[in-house]
Amino acid sequence: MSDEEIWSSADARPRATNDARRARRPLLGLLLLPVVLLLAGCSGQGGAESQNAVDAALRFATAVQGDAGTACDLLAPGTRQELEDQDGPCPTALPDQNLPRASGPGEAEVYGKDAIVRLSGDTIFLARFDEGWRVTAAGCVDAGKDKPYSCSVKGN
Amino acid sequence: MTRFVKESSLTLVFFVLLLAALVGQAFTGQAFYNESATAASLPTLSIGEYVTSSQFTVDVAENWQSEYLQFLLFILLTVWLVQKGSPESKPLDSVGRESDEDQKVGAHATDASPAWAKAGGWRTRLYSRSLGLVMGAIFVLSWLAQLIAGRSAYDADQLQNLQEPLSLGEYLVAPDFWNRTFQNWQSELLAVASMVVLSIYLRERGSPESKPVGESHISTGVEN
Repeated sequence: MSDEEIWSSADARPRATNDARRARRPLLGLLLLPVVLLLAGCSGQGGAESQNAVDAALRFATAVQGDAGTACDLLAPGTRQELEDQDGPCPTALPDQNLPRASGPGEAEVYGKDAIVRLSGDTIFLARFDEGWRVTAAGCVDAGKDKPYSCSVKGN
Repeated sequence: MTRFVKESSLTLVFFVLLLAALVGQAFTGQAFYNESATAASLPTLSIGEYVTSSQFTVDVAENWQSEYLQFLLFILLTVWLVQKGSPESKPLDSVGRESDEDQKVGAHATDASPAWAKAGGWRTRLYSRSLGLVMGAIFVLSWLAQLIAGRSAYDADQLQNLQEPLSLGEYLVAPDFWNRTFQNWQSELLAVASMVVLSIYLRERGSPESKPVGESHISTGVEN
């Protein structure tokens, strides 16, 4: 039987067979819906947010060197609270943390609302709050395989 | 429409249950994530952000891949492997791909047979394996989704703990990926083994998954 004969014979099929084929279409559509939902959350790594995270890290690194107030505003709430609980008001406590002098260019890895930015001179961890990217830890040094970074400024 | 609903009630009910379970998973997963985030003074996720997050996706994908692996293995292995007394098994003397006459292909196809069962050649060969191929494809795709989303979710957790994130290759051999995989596989394989064995001795009147109530324990491949 040629291809043409196979496909054109669809019109000559009994009505019950055509009804069965029409009934399968909504069922196949139902099966595709979960696939669509699955694909929606597949990437998890934000392209546009990478630059935003780098920009926030650079603003923090610049502010730390001369504008402690701005740098404190760029800290995540938990990190700022932890610093103030230990060493007093942030604008006076932050300069005492001896954060390394850091500059761009920066390279970010972003996963959802969490990011790590590697600047020239420092590694900074950030999280994206409603008001934008905020620093959760700074002055971070790799402590070895499977160990957390050792950070001068960090949250609880 | 009424006829469609009645004749497709099995699929429709299971689909509604699936949606309900997904909705439940979404809200409880969001609450669980936000509990940890709040405790660590980190950003929380809205329900919209959570259902499009890698955390939700990996939790869904790891379960789906194992379900489709279960079906793939069950569909394929029951071609050649048998279990005496189980309605989930073929009769003991029917092991293998069976004859064209038994399978109604080619010259043995009827008017009601699917077109590619009648067609012969590569079409019939492909159609003859289409169920396993599609189950296998969905298994591979959902396992891939588990890998990609799982790495993203794992690395988000790593960053929250001030630890180094993993590359995709590093995550492929990481304990988190394989632990998620194996814990899902073991339950699926247990379910199949349980069904195969329990249905030898136990009955559910009226269910096509059960032998007739009065059927002998040693009858194989007989269902309601």
